[in-house]
Amino acid sequence: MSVPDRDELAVLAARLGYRVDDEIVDVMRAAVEASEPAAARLRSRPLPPDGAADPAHGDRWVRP
Amino acid sequence: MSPDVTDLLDAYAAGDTDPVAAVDEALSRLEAAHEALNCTIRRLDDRARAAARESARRWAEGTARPLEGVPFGVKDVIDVAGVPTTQGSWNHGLDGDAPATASATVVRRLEDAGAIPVSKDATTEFAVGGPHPPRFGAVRNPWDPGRWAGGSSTGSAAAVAARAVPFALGTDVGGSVRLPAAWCGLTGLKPTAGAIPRTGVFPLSWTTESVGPLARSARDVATLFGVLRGPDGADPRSEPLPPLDVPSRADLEGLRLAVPGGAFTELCDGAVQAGVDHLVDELVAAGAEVVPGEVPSAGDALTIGYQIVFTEAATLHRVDADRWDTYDPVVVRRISQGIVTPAVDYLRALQFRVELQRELDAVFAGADLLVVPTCPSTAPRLPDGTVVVDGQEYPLYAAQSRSTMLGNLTGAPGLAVPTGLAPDGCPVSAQLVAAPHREALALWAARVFQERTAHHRARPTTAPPSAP
Repeated sequence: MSVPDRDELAVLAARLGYRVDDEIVDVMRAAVEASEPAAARLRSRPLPPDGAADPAHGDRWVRP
Repeated sequence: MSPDVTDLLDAYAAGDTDPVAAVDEALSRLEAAHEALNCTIRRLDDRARAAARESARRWAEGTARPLEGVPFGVKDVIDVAGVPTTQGSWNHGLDGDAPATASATVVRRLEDAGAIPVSKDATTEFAVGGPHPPRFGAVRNPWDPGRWAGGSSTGSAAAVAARAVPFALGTDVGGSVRLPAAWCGLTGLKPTAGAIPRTGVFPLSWTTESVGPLARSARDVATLFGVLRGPDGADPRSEPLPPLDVPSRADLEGLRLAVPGGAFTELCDGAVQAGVDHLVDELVAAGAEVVPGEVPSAGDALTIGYQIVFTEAATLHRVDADRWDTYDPVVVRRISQGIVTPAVDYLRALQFRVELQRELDAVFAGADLLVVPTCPSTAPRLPDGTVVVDGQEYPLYAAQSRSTMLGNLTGAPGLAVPTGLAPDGCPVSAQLVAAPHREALALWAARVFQERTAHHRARPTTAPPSAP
């Protein structure tokens, strides 16, 4: 499982207009790495077949 | 004796005190509490005293409204007309500490019901920073000044626990009402998403955020929730609601409790777990029954929830991206993760909410309430904010929101209920989680529990002896 390295994250943050120092880049990298297993599980999991694709379903709890 | 909202209203009705005296006393106690705990950003002395005189007149004339003359605190991310909203920061808006031009819907509703805001309460910076916001500093816990009151509704919890005010308003994105309520021995409600409008509340995460009351009893929370709930025509997520009908029975016959394990209990101090067991035992003794119920994906709720919260927070704070160096460093460390969360992951995280809702639907098909720890430990220690679970130290953010984020992701309401004191002398708490718009069931169970026990009446040693 690989996640972007710190330089890639720093470039992305700068491109998006955020000014973050080296310490924060390291913190971002650690956070991305820590969340990767859960994020990867979600990416590989099919959606429930009841309209869950639209995030509005999460905004309002509609019973199928 | 330290009357809660209900007792105070009864005292007014009996003529034992009046709003002028009670507000004077609240302001005086707030001053003392702030000196001891650092819980208040601003006292609203003149505004509150003027409102108290009007309330006293209404009581005298027989035109008292439902919360006439009850003083309350307001977390300083919520607007009160004529008063600055600092968000606990030096960096808010383009006009510094300019006063809010209008009150938030929640403040207006309470004032329309006769309640009187007396303070803007300390918050962690932008409701997401650490225990030591650079502008205002840490809020100490009334139960142990060497500990933090919790957050992000930190000053609100401390002020209520210190008996300075009978209730306060907070906001909850990952547990920010329920966690400080738990750590300060209070009853705190995160309502169903959209039940209480957020108009006039500085946002942190539009998907997960709710406003909720912190009080000293379930009966007070029920009263306050009845005033606060319902659409305001301005918050697009607030919607028409079913009636709030909290059963008044003293028994819980027919109430079904699921007591899930897994992610809810795998990191949980023995004293906290004992409190959960005690709550369940009392509810069962009152007629409830325990039924099976697990939430299989709950273990991912915290991580995925933070992805949503921090992505939205980084988006909201992008406008100030060139001055993040003046923010609380903890704010930057936390929300910077959101800068680099890919859009496809953020959107998949939003879809995950629906999967969790379906898992909860499966539980609620056979149960009315989930009973889980509110948080794994007693209050964090200062200065580092670590928590201790069964003798082992953990970082604050690895532990604190494990059981609360589920409600922010799904929209399910959660009520933090004090369940006693741990051997360290600090409060422990359990959370009653209900299906959407079923707050009444949690409030019913908590009221019955509080009629059978006295944990919610326990007072910290720093609270003055005859406080309101």
